[in-house]
Order: sequence, then structure tokens, then C-alpha cells
Amino acid sequence: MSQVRGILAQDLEERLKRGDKLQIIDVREPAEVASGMIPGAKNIPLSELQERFREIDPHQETVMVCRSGARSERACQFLMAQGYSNLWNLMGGMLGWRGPVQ
Amino acid sequence: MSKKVAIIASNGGLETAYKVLNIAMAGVATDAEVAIFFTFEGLNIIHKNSAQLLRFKPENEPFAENFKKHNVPSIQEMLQMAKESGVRLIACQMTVDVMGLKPEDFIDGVEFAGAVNFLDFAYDADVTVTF
Repeated sequence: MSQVRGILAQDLEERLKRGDKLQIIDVREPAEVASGMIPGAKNIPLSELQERFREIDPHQETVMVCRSGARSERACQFLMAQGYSNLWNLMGGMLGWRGPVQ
Repeated sequence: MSKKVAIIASNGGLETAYKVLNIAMAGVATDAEVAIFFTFEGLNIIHKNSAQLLRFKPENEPFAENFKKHNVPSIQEMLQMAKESGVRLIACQMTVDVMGLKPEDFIDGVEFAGAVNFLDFAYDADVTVTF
């Protein structure tokens, strides 16, 4: 049973619109993010997370993102095992994102 | 101190379920304390067979496709996430009894209480909504 916190795309979009400071990490492969990421997101492919997770600031409220919400949930669980807390998984992933993309 | 959101779910149907869970999830996303009181047909939402019991009104059937297209999480997934995030799911004891239902008919993690108990939470709530 997962203990990862989930956030809906619509709620994330509104929180970003009202200026909340959130660190967005997109764990899709580079070819996938070419179609656009949530503005301000940083791409760290899941395959590289083990080597690169220290690029993620543990003191910021962080949202993990992927295409459907499955890979990003695993990324959350990995980060929690490294001691990260303040994490959200984007439920439904980019498939559910209707906001602007960069 | 975080905000408190009290939600009363008194109707069945998939529309009501989404209305209720949307507010609850928005509360979770903004660190509010959320409690949902399910009564009468609203009990369908936390019933073990909610997947069969919850339907869109016939005139809203066309929306079902859009929910799929936008990968909107199912009611069951949102309830699970809400539970894990500390949202209290409270089934109205009186209507459970009157409708001949039992605790075993509901998903895990549901509290059984009456309106008096729910009001204790709602008196302090910043927001109370009923669907």
C-alpha cells in the first residue's frame, strides 16, 4: 500500500497560478518531455534518478510528474527512502494536465 | 492552524461523488483538515460496490468519455488517496441502519457516527458544503 501523497492536476494548476512555490520534477524520458513540461519543471528521467536525485532540493515542497502517474509514484517512493518528505505525486500524470506547457 | 473543511454527501450518483472528492482533494492539496459525512444515497460513494452503484445521470453519460481522456482518477483511487492523506470518512450510523446496511458493506477506514458527532467537527469548520 502506497503512502505517497497524491495531488490532482486541477489542484496543482491552481496552486501554481496563485503563486505557490513548488519544485516540479518530471521523470519522463527526454523524448517524452519534448512535447512539453509543466512550466518551471526540471526533467530528471526515472532511469537517472538514482544518480541525480541530489539535484532535488529536499527543503522545497516537490511534485513528481510523469505521463500517467505510475513512474512518478515510484520516484516518490524512492525519494522517501532517501529521506525526502514534502512530496506529491501528480495523480493521472501529464495525461491529465490541461494547463500551459513549456 | 490549518483550515477545516466539512463536507456532507447526501446524494448518490457519480456526479456527486466527483463533486465531493474534488473538494476533498483540493482540501488535501492545500493542507486543510477534511471530514466527509456520508448519508442516505451518499453512502453509495463509500460502499464496497461503488464501482457498480455509482452512475452518471443518462444525460451526462457523454462526459464519461472525457473523464477517461483526461485520465481523471477514479472515485475509488481518490477515496484511497483521501484516506491516506487523513481525510475522515464518516458514514451516518442512522441511515446505515435504516437502509439495512452493515459495516462490512463499506470500504476500510470508514467511521460510523451520527450527526451530533459530525456537527462537532462542522461547528469549527471554515467551510461546510453539502452535495
